[in-house]
Amino acid sequence: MSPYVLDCIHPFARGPLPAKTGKTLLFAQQAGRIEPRTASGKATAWQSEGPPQFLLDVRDLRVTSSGGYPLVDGVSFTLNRGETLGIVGESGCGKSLTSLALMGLLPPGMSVSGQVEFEGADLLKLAPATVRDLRGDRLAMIFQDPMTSLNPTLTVGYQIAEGLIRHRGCDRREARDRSIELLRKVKLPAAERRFDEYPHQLSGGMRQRVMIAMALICQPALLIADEPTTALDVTVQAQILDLLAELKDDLGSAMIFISHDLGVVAENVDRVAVLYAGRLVEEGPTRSLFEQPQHPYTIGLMGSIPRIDTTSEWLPAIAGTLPLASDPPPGCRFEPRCPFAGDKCREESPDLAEVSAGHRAACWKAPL
Amino acid sequence: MTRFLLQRIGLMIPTIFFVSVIVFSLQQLLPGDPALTMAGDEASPALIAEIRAKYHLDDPLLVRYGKWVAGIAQGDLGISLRTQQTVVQLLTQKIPVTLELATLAMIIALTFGISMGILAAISRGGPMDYVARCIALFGISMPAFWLGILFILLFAVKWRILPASGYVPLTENPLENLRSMIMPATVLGLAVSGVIMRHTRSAMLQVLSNDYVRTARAKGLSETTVIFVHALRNAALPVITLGALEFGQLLSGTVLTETVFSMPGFGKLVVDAVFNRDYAVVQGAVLCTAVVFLLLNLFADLAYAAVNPRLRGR
Repeated sequence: MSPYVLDCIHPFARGPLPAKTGKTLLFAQQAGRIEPRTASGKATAWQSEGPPQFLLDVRDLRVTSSGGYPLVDGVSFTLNRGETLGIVGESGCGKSLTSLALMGLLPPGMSVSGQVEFEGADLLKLAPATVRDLRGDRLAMIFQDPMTSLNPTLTVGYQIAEGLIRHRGCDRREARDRSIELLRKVKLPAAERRFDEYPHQLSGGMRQRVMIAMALICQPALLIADEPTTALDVTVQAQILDLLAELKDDLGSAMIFISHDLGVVAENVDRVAVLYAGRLVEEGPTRSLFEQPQHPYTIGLMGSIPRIDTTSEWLPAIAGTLPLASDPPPGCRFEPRCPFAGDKCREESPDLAEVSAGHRAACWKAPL
Repeated sequence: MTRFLLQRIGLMIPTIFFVSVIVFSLQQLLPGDPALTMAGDEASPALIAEIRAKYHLDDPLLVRYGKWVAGIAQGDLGISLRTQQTVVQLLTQKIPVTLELATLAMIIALTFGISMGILAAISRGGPMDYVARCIALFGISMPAFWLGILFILLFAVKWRILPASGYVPLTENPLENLRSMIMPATVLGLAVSGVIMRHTRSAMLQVLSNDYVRTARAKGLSETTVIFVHALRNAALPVITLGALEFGQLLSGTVLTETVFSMPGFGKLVVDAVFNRDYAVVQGAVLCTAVVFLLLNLFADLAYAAVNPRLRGR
């Protein structure tokens, strides 16, 4: 294990609240055993040679509320085949809306603009029926809460097999066999019997395994996981994260991993994008971003994680609150809360600029 | 499942017992004397006493109740004081009429109510929603007897395509039977469909905002599959309960419509019996209604379990 992993896992692999210490310590020990994927030296896409052929190319994505306020404001990023991108940020920063916009599942009333090029076609310009054909087949999503995301009146088996019947035209027999096979792969105990059971007969962890099987049944090229472990017990979290990474590598799928837990992100993704108030403020390779965070917000986020190796009575927190989408500050969105803010920050909003190889930050003061 | 069923049937027995006690005692509190009603205005005291003795009207309350219950156990609900027919005979004559009427009305109500409710929910705030809600409001607020009279005026008097009143038994002539049933059934069904439409709409709206509907959409399923396979099953639960209650209401409360269309049904039987102080018939009919309500509730519970797996195996 590289020293980097030891260095980053212990401070980050714990929940954000000091009250959780008893449980989080257990997870920290567990997390220590997880194979480091970020630091394994695997060539990530931004290092690969030749002209970049992106799986997903999001440009200037904007989501506007029914009242006309910008909720996601000009977010751009790319994703290569097989790559994992982590999107982090606090609640309300636009993480989930970004993923729902990619899936075409935004709540009614919200409007979306920009460009979402997936496998060469712009998802925002395709006919709804064509997007439906891709959804669940080429791109799939795992939702946050497995308790409410499964239909209580249908068997879990039916809910998994449904995707195969819809996209692959399988008959029920074949869909059943393949679903049970996948249920075994997601390590659901007694898969054959569970196939005919209903969600209420399964535990939270088992349900999330079912959700994963449901998303992966058609072997999607892109998997979006929206806080897949937030609703789970900490001991189950590590197992689910392990499983996700293993299956995704097996299938060669790319993944967008959304989380507010920097620790989980640090050990599971190749690149990290930090969102603040609907804007992308920093983006770069995991290692570079964690070792040399360039945006004051990223630095603040890292500072507000409880550490086990320092004795401190209080937890540093970022002062202030998220600006309202209806009344954003005129300059940099983070300026009102930023300890480094100057006159320029108040007047003009910074664009993303490269600070080191593949590492971009939107800050007038960067590189620090 | 068998245990669930046995449990529910077991619970019905004390309920029926209490209903019988209440029916019997309320009946005694009613003003008026059946013997006087039977004997007529100018009857001699001797005749009245004779009638009293014949029908055991002078026995103590408990004895009469005991005799009544013993009779029920043997399938004997007594004899109508007015027509001298047995109550069982009267009920078996009248109930099929009302049962057919209520069933037809319910089919109309469910078909209209559920489909309009779904349409209104998926086009929430749109013109279809508005139209469906207006129809529902009309159905709920329009008195059934008034709508019945309007129907008779239009279909029977003006266009002469349907009989204005009367009843032809199903076994005699199915087509004529349907022709005589269709107007009263529609009148009753429209009122119920308004209630069902509103409940379906709100249940559907609530279900459509659930996470699992988003999951279903994320699988690329068509909107039709999302609505009919994923949402409707969950939205059906409150509608089943409501449907059972409304069906019970239809079975016991169709008297106005039966009167307007001169249908020889159960509702008319009960009202006539109450006016004539025909104790045995009132008691038998009310008891019968109570049993029907209990059975409907049992069916609703079974349907619930069929749709909702969380209730099974408990």
